[in-house]
Amino acid sequence: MPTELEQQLERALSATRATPPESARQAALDALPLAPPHRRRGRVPLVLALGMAILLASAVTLYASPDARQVIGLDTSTPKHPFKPGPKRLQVPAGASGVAVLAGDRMWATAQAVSINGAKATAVELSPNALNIAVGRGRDLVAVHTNGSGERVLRRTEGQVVAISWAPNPIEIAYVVKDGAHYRLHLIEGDGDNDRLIDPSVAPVRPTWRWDNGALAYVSSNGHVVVRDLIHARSAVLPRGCLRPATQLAYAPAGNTLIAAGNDSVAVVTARGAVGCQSLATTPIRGFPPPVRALTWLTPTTVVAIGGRDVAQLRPHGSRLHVIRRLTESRGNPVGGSALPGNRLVIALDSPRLRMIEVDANTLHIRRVLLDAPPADGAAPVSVR
Amino acid sequence: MVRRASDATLVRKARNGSRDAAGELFGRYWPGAWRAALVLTGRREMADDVAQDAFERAFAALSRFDESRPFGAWLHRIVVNRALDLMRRERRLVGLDQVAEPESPWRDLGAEDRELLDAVATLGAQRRTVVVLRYGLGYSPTEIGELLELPTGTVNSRLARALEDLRRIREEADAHRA
Repeated sequence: MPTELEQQLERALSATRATPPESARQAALDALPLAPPHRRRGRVPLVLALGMAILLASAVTLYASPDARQVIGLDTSTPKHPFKPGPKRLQVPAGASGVAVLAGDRMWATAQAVSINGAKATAVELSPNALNIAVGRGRDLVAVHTNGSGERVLRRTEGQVVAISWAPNPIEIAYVVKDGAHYRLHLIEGDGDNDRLIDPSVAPVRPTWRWDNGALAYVSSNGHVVVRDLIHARSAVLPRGCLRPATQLAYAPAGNTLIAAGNDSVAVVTARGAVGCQSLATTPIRGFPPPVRALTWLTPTTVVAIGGRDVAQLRPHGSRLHVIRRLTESRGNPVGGSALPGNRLVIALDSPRLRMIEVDANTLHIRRVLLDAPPADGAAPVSVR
Repeated sequence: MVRRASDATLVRKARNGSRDAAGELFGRYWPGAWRAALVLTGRREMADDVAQDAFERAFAALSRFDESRPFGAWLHRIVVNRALDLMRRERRLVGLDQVAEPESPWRDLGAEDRELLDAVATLGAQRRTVVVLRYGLGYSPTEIGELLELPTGTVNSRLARALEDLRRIREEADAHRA
């Protein structure tokens, strides 16, 4: 039952006839960033475009094939487009709310009013809509509020936080903390309440949430994929199958499909375990080993796996994986990546400095350099919202 | 009778480059978004900036908008965040009355309602935000929690404290008049 004050508030707030000035309305309308309109093409331009596309595809295929490049004398380790010095502060890609990356023991993150560049950290992840940045710092799990209002220590932990995964809801956070020789998986609420241990012995791999927050997949200490049903509080430990062991996990943005990667292969994970493996980066280039560094969903049906120098687009079909596209990153060693809307990727390259680039997912053409920072040490997990 | 296109339809068309659809979507939500920004900031020129900025961000991110969710709620969330962001950036978090417009922006209202909205403008940003979302835009505490990424309990406690503050301000004004 609303009180008299509440009724008066409703009346006053709805009664105000304050109208926006026409000048402000027009300025806002003029400033709307609109997608370019689609144009109808006639038959002749279509044929010409097809011809150009075939020529271009042939050129790209020739260039993307290491064997072919060796035949025609190109050095695969030499960047075709050497980088000019890029921004020292991490830039947010167009259309995103925020971006973060962990490289070695340093983090970069930019969202709304906050930009953190080169601070010490052990893990970093943006919340949905980038309203908060979860950071593992020393023995603390911290939430930095991106509206500039400060930060909050969510939990003082037993050891370093090595992986963080924010639930889509976005109330809960799964995090992996080092405890002596072991790693423990915890869940905590975004305001620091209700911390609870889920598994005392896991691998230092970022867990992944199912879209409906009802399940969490993670990797056990012996490399098995474990699916924790959070609604019924029970776990299913899946056979490792071809992954030996799993090092990356990614639930699809909708549905039940779970993709996992081992060192050099990617697989659909079903209740029977990891099946339908697709091997990646089987021919290491110039001493770069082929671990799969990143697994990210480009669309609700297409997943991108970055391994060695390969950037592969794969589509699960039942328990099988079909390769849609496979490109080679020639400008450096990809150490992390995340998908963006509009068929784009953010890729972290260690080349030899850490460079974050926004690229077209189908061509790997650079749209923008987002960061130019000291080199990463190993994988560089990327979080984009 | 011309059937009004749904927000989801307009969003789809705007994504595909339809200026008409984008214009219609803008027309539907601009006045409400501007008024929300005005009540949140208490200043007309800041409301212009907040609303424009929110629309720019919303349309730039249209490709990421989940069509199964209400467009209005999504936009209001951006408005609220931009308003709070801008106020904080200008260090006007505390005591909006210190930078309030010389003339009340609620001059179209009766004295009692105007006084109440002036009192709302003196609340801290967190409490003012939940008051505007609850009583101005009609969101439930659960929906406000989803918008602001807060537990519903926190929303309820902020609302209760805001109402306490407003009652106290009103009693002080009554006592002053007496």
